Formats: sequence, C-alpha cells, structure tokens
Amino acid sequence: MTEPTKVAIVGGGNGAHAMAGHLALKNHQVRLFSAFPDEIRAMQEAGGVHVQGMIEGFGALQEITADPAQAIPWADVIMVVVPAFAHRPLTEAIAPHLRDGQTILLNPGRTGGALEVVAILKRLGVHADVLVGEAQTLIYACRISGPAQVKVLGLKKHVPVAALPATRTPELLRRVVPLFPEYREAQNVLETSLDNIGAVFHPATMVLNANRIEAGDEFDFYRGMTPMVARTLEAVDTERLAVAEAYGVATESAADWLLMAYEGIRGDSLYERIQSNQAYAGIKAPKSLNVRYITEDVPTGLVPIAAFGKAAQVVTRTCEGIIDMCCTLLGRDFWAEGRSLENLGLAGMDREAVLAHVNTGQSS
Amino acid sequence: MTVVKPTILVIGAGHGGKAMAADLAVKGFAVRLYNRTYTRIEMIALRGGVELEFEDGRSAFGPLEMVTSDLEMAMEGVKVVMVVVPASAHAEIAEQCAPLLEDGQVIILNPGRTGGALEFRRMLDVKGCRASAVVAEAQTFVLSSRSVGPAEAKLFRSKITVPLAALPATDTSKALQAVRAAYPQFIPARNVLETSLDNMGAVMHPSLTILNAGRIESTRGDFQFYIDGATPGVAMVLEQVDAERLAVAQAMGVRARSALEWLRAAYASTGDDLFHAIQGTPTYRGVAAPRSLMHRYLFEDVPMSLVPMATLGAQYGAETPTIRALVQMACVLHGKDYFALGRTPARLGIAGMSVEQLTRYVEGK
Repeated sequence: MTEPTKVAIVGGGNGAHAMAGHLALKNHQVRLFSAFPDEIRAMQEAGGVHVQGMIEGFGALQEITADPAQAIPWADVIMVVVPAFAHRPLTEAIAPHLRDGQTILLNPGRTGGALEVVAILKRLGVHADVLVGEAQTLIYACRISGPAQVKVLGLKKHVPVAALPATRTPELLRRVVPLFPEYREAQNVLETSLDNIGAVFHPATMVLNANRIEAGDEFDFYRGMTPMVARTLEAVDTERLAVAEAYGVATESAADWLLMAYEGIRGDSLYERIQSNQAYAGIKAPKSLNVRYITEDVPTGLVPIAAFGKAAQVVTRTCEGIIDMCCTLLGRDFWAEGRSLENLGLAGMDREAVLAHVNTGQSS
Repeated sequence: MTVVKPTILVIGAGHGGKAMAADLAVKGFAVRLYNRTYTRIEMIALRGGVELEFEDGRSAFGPLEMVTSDLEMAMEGVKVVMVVVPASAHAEIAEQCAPLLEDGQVIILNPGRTGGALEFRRMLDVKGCRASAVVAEAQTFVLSSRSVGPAEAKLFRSKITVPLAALPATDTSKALQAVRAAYPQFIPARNVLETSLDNMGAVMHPSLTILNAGRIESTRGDFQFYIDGATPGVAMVLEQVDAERLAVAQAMGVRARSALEWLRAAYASTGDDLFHAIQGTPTYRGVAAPRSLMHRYLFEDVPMSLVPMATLGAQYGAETPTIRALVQMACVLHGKDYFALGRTPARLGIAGMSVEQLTRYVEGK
C-alpha cells in the first residue's frame, strides 16, 4: 500500500464525485472544494460519496466545503475536475491559497488548460512553486446517480498527462501515479491539448443542426452527423491534425480514434464509423445551443486550436468559421473569452517560442 | 396608337426561363427561347411552345417563335434579351454574347444577384465588345414560377414591384422603356449597387441552409424552410448577416434596405425582429426546404452573393466575419473553394476603385 496523499478535489459534478469517492476508497486523505454550495450539500450531509458500478463503496471525505481555505492550503495534490470553462474562475479562487510544493492536475485540461492556469497564476503574481499539469481526458465514464451517489460506468486504462513545462512531467508522474497508476507520460501539454476529439465532433454538429436543437427536436446526436456534416467534422479534424503536426505532436485522426476507443466500428469514412458506433445510440441531442458542446468546446477547444495554428502559421479556416458562427448564435465573443494566445500566455510567440515554452519553460 | 411589341429572347430554360417565355408569349410578344443544352428544350421545340398553368387552374399555351441552342440565331434582331440563368453562368453568357451583340439591344439579368451587371459588362469589355447595348439587372426574379413538366410551367403570382438598374444608371430608362409593355412591375433603382446589395436571398438562403444542414440531409427537406427553419438563434445569424450586408453597402455609399424593412414592404410581415417577421410572413407558409444540400441556395448564393459582399467589404473597409464564416462552411460542405470561384472586385471590374470612382462608374456621370 502506498503512502496516503493529501488530495483536494476541486469540483462538484459527476467526475468530482467519482474521483473524490474513489480516492477515499483507495485510502487517500481527501477534501473537496466546490464554488457551488448547492452541488455539495448532499455530500456534506452524507460525509462522503457512495460509489457504485465498477467501483463499490462509501468514500468518506475529510472536508467538503465551498471555502477554498478549508481544502487548498492543506493539500499536496489538487485535482481539478470541472468543465474547462471553469478553469479560469477556479484558478482565481484558489490562487491566494497556494503554497510551495503543491501540484495542480487538470482532469482534463481540454485544449490549453495548463497553459491558461499558469498564465493566470503569473498574472495574479503567485510566486509559490506549484507544479501544473493536465490530463488528456477524465479517467472515468460516470454520472451522479442520486444524492451523494455516483455510478462509475467505465475506467480508462491509460490517461496521458503532461506538466508545464514538459521537463517537469517526470516529477508530476512521481506525485500523481500513486493516486492513479493509469497516468502515462505525454510528450508535452500540446499532445494532451490537441487530442481534443470533442472539439472536432461537438461544435460543428451543433452549428449544422442549430435549428433542430433550438426547436427542441428529439434526435440522437450522432444522427445529426449526416454525410455532409461528417465532411465538415473531417475538415475540422484535418486542421487539428495539421496544427499537431506543425508542433511535432503525434495525434490520431478522429476516424482512427473511433476505432481505438470503441468496439465494433465499421467502415472507412468518418461518417460510416460514427454511424456504426453502437455506443452513440441513444445519446440525445441537447435541446438548447447554450450547452457545453459549444460553451466549453469552443472557447477551450476550437479557439486554442486556432490560436496554436496561428502561432505556427497553419490555416484553420473551418475552425474559425465554426467559432464565428457560435459567437453569433449565442451572442458571445468566444475569441475574447476563450483561450487565445494572449490568454494562454503565448502572446506574440511563434512556433519555436511556443515549443520552448511548453517543453522547457525557457524562451527561445 | 398600337404598342409595338418587341421581339424578346429568353436565355435559359429552367424554372424561371420557361415560365417567363410562356408568360411573354401568352401576352402576345414574339418570343425566342435559347438553352445551351438542346435536350432540355427538345419537347418545347416539338410542341412549338410552353403550356402555362395559372394558380387558379386555368392554363394557356405560349407559342414561341424560335426554340434553339444556337445563340447567334437567337440573338439576331431581337430587341430585349432576358437572361434567366443562375448567376454563376452570367460570365459565360456574356462571353458568348460579346461577339453577337447589336447596337440598341437591351440585356436584363433576372436577377443579377450581387454584381451581375458589373460582371457581365466587364466580360463584354474584356472580349472587346463594341456594340452600344444596354446591360441591366433586376433585384429579384419578377415571377414566382415552377417548371412542372418538360414543356410545362406553373405561374404563381408575379411580384408587385421589382427594382431594376442599368450599368451605367444613365441607361436605366432605356432598359425600363424596352420592357415596360412586358413587365410594368419594373421600377428604377438608383444604380446597380443598390440592386446588387438589396439581395435578400443572400441573407436568407445560405444561413438557413447551413444551420439546418443536418435536418435537410436527414429529412430530405421535409419541413417549412422559413417558418420552421428560422428559430431564434438562427434568426440572430440572419440579423448578423444582414447587418454586415448593410455595413458593406454603407461603406460603398449605398443606402440598402434592411431585411426587416424589406419583409414589411414586400410581404406586409409583422414583427419587430427578423425571427418574428419571418414567422409573421404568410407567403413563407408551406415553402419547403431544399431536398439536399447540393442546392442553388448554396452553390449560387454563396459565390454570387456572399463572396462579393465579403470581398467588397474588404475593399471598402467593412468587416464581414459572419458572411465569411458561412462561405467557409459552404466551401467545406461542397468541397469547393467558393472564395476563388466567386465574384470579387476584380471579376466585377472594380478592383481598387475608390467609392467616388465606383459611384461615377455605376452612375455614368
């Protein structure tokens, strides 16, 4: 048995429930901080989380709080388990409570999470030596199944993680592998960031089905990925792969990712592969445009993909078109709100400077 | 005094061209019909004309003087040439007409979309056409019609007024005079920039098609295009495209009409924004969506309306991010580079012109 680690979970949704309960069941010391008192009330009453499914048991938590001071300074490892659009406000909330030697891991970072967190800490003048990293995906497939109760439906075997800068990834692994042996070393945060399949699938499908979604039409979301919609997804994916290639990061195409991630995928085209995926059956399209498929996947998916493209002079016209359409549909400026080069702390950098920043932390 | 009815040539035998040829023939004009592909007009040639059905169930036969795919024969001696083809074919028609045009002939593009007359005129110049002919464009197609058989067309109501302008505008009265007997609905627009920028199809068609793409493909267009297709968020995109269009017009010194103003004037629509105005437009009830995404709402309206608006905006300093985004989405959907295929200031013969130079060019003063 490994030494117990002091872990603060930041978040109160599906993933935060699962990770808090699971780590407590692994005998780590766990506190949970959420900015929303409503989403933690049931856990406070229960004193922890009932975990069901692939993991069973009651995970007792030491502290469940809406006050960051009660959880953050105490912790050695801070696991952030929130939608990526919440990374900024939560980083601002915990920043005053950070101290030397702590680790922040974003589960996941989406695109550019660790870069954004480091940029915010720098802007806020946080001088504590905090190691910041991001996971490529959330380790669980899970959902809240009742008050203070979560059902774990799946557990990924491997989850790539990287620190910023990448020279500190071995150190990150030493600190977090005791929590989850599933963590694996990624090349750098560009690898964990650019493997964002949600950014490929979700916003374009939302835009090209905007009317049906607004009208409240009931349909399986993947059925909205008709042949020409799938062609648009492929165009987005091609741009994402070109950006990754420009930075020398190995990523799979969305079509090949489907083969790897799911059983029983058939066909050669992205359209055929999506339509053959039984796991997609029954996942309903949202009934509003104001959902994470846009509000998360655009500002923390497509916007930073386009930003990385811009720094490396890779054309990302389709991504940009979809971002512009989403701005108009929701009446928001995702270019300004989202992870632009400025918000990632990469203003004015070209490809080489970005690579130096993520790999070694030195400016080239 | 008897009105002398001029011989009219209709170019194009699609939905619009067949109906216009028949309508003019029924009204007693001598009409010729030209189509590039003869098989499309073979039945009309065999029957000697087009059977025209009206909304009330009546029908009439419109006998045609000539039905041909020989443009030289078709053009010879006619007074008026009504071009009723997709705007993407305007340049090609101009190229073919250039050596055949006679002094005094009047060419009217029905409609020009954005920049039709400019592109047509430029192609005549490039081809060295010296004939003193009038080139004009209508802001929209004057009839509402549909092809209902190889030699049959159906006519719905025709529009009450349709603005028309010639290039230069000093020729507009000549164009109106030439077609007054046929279509008194034509009224003078200030110049071709006005007819080109008051392009409501550009506002409505690509946005509605793209934001309904999944629904069009999965239902084969089984819904009302405007009434069901324009939900509130979709209407916000229409508003944005419209605002960008108005900004481009303003940058070019043109006072364009907003889509809302136009809906109120043309269809007596009610409502304070585009969403409510579209819902409050009885004419839109029952108008079906396209059955596929391979439709002129994209392959015509994107390169011939949105691309010129975006590129004119770039030349005259108006931002068009939403229009550009729609063009990009259409490029991906169709696998075509519409920015390269579409109308640009260079193709319209006005690259680098200042607003003053442009105004002088279109006004002819």
